[in-house]
Amino acid sequence: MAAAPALALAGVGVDRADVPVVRDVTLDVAPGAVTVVLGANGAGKTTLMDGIAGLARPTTGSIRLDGAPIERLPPFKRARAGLGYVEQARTAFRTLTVEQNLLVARSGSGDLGTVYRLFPELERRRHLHAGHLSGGEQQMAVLGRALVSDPKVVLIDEMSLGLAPKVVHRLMGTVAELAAMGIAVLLIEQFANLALEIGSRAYVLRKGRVVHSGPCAELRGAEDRLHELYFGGRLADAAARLAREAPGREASRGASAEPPEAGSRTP
Amino acid sequence: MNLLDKRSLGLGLGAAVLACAVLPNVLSAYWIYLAISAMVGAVVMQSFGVIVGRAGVMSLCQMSFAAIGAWVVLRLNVAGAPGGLLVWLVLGGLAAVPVGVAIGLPALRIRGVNLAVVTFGFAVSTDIVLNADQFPGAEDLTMLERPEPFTGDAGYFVFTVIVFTVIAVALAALARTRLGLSWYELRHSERAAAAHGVSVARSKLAAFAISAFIAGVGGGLLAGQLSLVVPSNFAMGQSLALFAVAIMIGPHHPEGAVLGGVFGAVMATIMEKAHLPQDFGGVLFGAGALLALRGGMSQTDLTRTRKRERAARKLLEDAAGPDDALPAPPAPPCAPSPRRLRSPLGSGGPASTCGG
Repeated sequence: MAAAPALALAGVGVDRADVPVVRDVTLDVAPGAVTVVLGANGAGKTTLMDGIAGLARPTTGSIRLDGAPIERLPPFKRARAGLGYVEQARTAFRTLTVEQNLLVARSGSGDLGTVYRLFPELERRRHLHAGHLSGGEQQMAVLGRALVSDPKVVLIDEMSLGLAPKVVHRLMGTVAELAAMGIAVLLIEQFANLALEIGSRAYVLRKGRVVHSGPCAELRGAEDRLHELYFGGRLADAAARLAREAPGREASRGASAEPPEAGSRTP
Repeated sequence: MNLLDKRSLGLGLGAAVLACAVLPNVLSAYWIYLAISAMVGAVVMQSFGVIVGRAGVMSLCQMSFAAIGAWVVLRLNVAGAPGGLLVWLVLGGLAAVPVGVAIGLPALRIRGVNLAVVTFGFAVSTDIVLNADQFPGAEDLTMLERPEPFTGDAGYFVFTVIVFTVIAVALAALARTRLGLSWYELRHSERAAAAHGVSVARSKLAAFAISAFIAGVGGGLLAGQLSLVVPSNFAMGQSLALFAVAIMIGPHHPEGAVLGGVFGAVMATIMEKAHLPQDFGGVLFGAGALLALRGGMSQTDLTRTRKRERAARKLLEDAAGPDDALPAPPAPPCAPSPRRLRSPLGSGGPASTCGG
């Protein structure tokens, strides 16, 4: 990675209710690329995101956005400095229209054109309440909301939660497009292989620490390796055994390779 | 972008002009007096519209802000300050602003019911202060003078309509700004607001300041209507009842504010005509507020949602036309997520939740 990182974390620790959840995380997010954070449930991924966005206060370490330290800024100043955050669990404002959903996050200069270009379906529905949209469209509105302020770095936390596979693929394509536009993307994703496909660099968190970092290509399709990284030695063996014994089922949701097929969902 | 929606602006201004032209000529003196009360109530409702309706903050002390406005207006009248009622109204509103900001400070840390208790505490203490001392001019019966063309009751009604309309237009313009939009975001999620670059503290304090200003103007208008006011005009019970009405009707839309004002003004008369005890009105408001809280939506919000819903259904029907898909590329597939919105949208038909 030749370019200077758009977002650089060094030795970051984040507490939740005085319990250290994320410890000593050092990580770089390059501009124009997708950086993936993987890890089992409870590894501290979301807490890390909250720490970067300022919604949880980092206790140690430094966070630099384009070289400027932001770890002491309140969340709204971090956002204004160029940080977009797509929170976990679709957070579209259901009683506001799509357009209002986007406008609430718009800073002075940002325009909605880019968002509508990325998501033409939103433009057609811009006067509808977000509550009347499908889950995928709501997530598009949330993604769009993170983009209207023209961010340098976008944090995306589990945007595929509860969405149909087809929609997930569509959104992943958009994330890759954001990177192509020069934005630095930090992506947390339950469908590891989907994320590894569009990502360039991957970090794996276990119990709040980075246990692996390297190019995404290394981990693509390497399920045993992922199990080991997610759970450590013995647990990983158990997970691998489970996967062998019940090949139809996922050994763990966290490391599942692909979302289940659409056909299996017919009512 | 257009600062105001032209159609609603035209409708609103038309209604205001019509009310000014027609009502004073057809109503009897008694009903004109009630109409003034309704418009004064509507202005106070607008202050609820900012803090409760838009920002979603529970405030039970709006009448205390109104009392400050009334006090300042009467004091300026006694002192014979220049400018007349219109200027005094603005000054009364401004006087309420620092108090509103002070009440807003605890709101940065506490919210919901706890904040309601704090604001109610302030309402109670204002009550005590007001009762200890009379309003300026009450002792020697110095009456408040209304400004020139609006001295009669019919004229004063026009005056209140003008004040209401000015505030309504200003609020509508404000609703399109970053600040106005941030209030809606606060109502949904302070976390998300912060993550989108909104200073939660500033936005909330601004909501308190502006709502206190409007309430102060409302109090001044009340002083103008009654010429002399007594502390019970601003009793904490009033704040409580108006809060219930606000939850029920949704005064962040202008027609909701007017409706709320009209309700408050004519309720007593209706109760009397129906031979029901006066306090029964409070029961009705309480029941209505409970319904609104259960439904999660005020009446005016509900009307608007219905409208959006019709638009949504139309869009979906168009989409489910011959091609069974939208013309543009990737048509959003159906999401399997459950819909939590309580609306009949989901039970409509095959084209109910998605365009495919």
